[in-house]
Amino acid sequence: MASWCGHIGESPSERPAVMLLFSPSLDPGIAVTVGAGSEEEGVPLVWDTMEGAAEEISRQAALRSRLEVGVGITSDACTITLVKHTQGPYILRQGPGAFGSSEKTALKKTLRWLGGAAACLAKGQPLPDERKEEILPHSAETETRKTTAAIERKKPLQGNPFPQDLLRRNAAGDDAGQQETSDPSEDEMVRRLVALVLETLGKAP
Amino acid sequence: MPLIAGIDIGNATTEVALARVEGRDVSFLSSALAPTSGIKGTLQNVAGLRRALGLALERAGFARDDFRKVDRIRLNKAAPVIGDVAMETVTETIITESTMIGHNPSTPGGIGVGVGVTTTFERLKEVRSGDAVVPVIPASVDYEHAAAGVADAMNRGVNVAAIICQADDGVLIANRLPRPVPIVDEVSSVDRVPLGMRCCVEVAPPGRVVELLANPYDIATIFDLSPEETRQIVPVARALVGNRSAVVIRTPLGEVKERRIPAGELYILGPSGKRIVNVEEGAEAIMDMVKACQPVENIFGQPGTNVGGMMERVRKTMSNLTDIALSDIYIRDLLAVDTLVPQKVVGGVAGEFSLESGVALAVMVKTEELPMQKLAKAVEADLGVTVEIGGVEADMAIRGALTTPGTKCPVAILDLGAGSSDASFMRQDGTVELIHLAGAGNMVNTIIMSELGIDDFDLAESIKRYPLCKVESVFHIRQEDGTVRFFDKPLDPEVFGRVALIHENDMLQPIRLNVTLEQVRNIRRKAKQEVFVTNAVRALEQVAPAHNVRLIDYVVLVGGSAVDFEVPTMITERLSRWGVVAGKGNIRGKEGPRNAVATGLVLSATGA
Repeated sequence: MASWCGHIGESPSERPAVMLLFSPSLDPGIAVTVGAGSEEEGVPLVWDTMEGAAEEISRQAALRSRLEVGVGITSDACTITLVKHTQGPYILRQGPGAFGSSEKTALKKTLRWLGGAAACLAKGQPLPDERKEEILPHSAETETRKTTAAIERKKPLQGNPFPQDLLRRNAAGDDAGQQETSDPSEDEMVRRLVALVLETLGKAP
Repeated sequence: MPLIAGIDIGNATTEVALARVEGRDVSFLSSALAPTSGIKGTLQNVAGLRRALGLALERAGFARDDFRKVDRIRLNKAAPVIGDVAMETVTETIITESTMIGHNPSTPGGIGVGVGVTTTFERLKEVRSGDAVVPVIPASVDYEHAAAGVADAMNRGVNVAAIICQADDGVLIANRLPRPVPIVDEVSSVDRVPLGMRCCVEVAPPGRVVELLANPYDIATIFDLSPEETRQIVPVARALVGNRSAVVIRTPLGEVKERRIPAGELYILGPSGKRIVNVEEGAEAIMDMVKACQPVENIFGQPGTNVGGMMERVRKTMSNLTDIALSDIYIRDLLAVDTLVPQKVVGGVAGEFSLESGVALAVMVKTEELPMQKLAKAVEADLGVTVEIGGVEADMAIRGALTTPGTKCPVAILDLGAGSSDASFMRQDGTVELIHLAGAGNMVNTIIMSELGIDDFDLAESIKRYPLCKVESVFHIRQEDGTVRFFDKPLDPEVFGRVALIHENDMLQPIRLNVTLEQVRNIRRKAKQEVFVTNAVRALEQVAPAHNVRLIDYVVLVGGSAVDFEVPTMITERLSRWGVVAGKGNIRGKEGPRNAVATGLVLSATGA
């Protein structure tokens, strides 16, 4: 949508936005992906193309951005630069796993993260977690679901949520704790869990 | 002049004072400390002792392993007390059918409340116009596609009341719809959302929290609940308090309840016989009972319950480590503190947490005697240096503490360590009153861990030890007291925008939790107040003449936890009400509150 992510010419010039500059040789579709990242964080993004190294064009982008945050993307690097931060780019992603990644979904993820990170820098918030937990595929999740749910339901019966911490504190020394750190009731816990799983499987239709 | 090393093995650290002693002349050369290896008083301590002594030798200009330069080692006759802590949860929320999703995605979409029947995204096409639905969108559906599908349904006249989606796409979808609806995103186990059920979604405006779904009567109005069902829904409403977005789904068999876990009873043996208190009654009731049973002879937990298991584990471990019969190990003190424990809601859909109430317990075990003689022999064999056991730890602590400028007898010493808080009082005639209490630095860590919902002991230790700040820009931070500090070099992107701890040399350690600086600060200060200030008062009341703290003139704080940046001032403030001069010790005028016992051990070698 033009209002959230648009070419520099389409957006009202006085609107605060993060600026993205990328090599003209790249697919303009990447602007949409980066834009989605910043839009989810509630910050608009404007884009344009420019020749040059990622570091250089992201500095240009930062200077042009009213929020003073610029993103630069070339075929071998992605950078985020802040106007106030003059010593090179603030965030740099290079090589495989950055823009150079051949994997389409990984690439999309990096680009979207980049948009989110730029928006967060503008907002003064912590950067989004780059290694966000992968969402389990549908079927696998469903299969494991019943058993884990059953185990989870029974778990609190074991009581103490911190059973492991008892006495481990004092035995924190390098050669200590080997004698009695294992909870005497651990066997019992395992036995109960196994019984539970068997019970759950047995009751399944 | 012979070289003497005073070595104090504590629960957490081993401290060394190295000095040349000739007659009554003592000249201290160096001091050092290292983490204690193993439980104090056991043979495992030798490793930590070697490290600490090596460091002290190095600082005095010798080689690190030149132990034979030392003529005599004086070990403390460690008080046979070991403290430990554990947590008991008293309540838990159980949902036997999935009925709620209450979590805080950072960026939900839209604003408002929507009520409809849950349906899959694929079946949205088949919904008749006029029906109120809540589509559930898996991550496999792209946001453009999802928004187009929902917009299409809206244009057909379907009342799409709200949306639940798996990916972090809430704002993106909301921006692409013809009219705004509340959207809850980042629901990880989206396939566990029951379909075909009446559902209510609420998203509060930025900076606000859900109001409708946190109110049991509003939930009753939406789902047409009977008074009995409304009572059952209370734990759900309670678990949703403070969230920016929430979902409640009614399933026909849905049963939600708050269960009180039978935490068990504590049996406290005192001079007046056995008294019973239930852990469920909370910290205050437990502490009243402990006070009524002074001096405590032994504490047991109800067999077959959590607390019973905890007490027996402590006894068994102590027995194994010290080779003392189980029956000779007595739990002589207990400190209970009420806490909140974020616990996973049983049967929840998106890993919801609910703040359940709990009680943190610290116990102190007293044995007949720690096998110090055995340890002394082991050290002698290992280092080839004569080892002798010095006097009682409390005497040594007082001797060391009195080297603090501005102190005089009669004086009370509060030794705040990691495992226990000890107090001793020396009268004018040199006689000493002594008490060991459960609960010290480790208990503060346990409370911090439980209230912040973390299981990283090192992080809790850092939160306890270092002041907080908020990283506000690439170049500046705002500290706890509101002052701003600028840095010459840009701060790491990892700490940007986060609450962080200021370590030595301005190293910043980010706290990767969704918490504000004030929350962390309040939890830290409350834990310290409830453990250290409570224990300081409890301990002084027991050693003071006529159990009256006003009759004590000077209190010197020593031990590792007295190094803390706020504990001494908290205690000073509390004791100043009674006109007591209390403050952090400064051993030998330069060591601060550390090294009291080690210094006392060296001084006692002069025979003075």
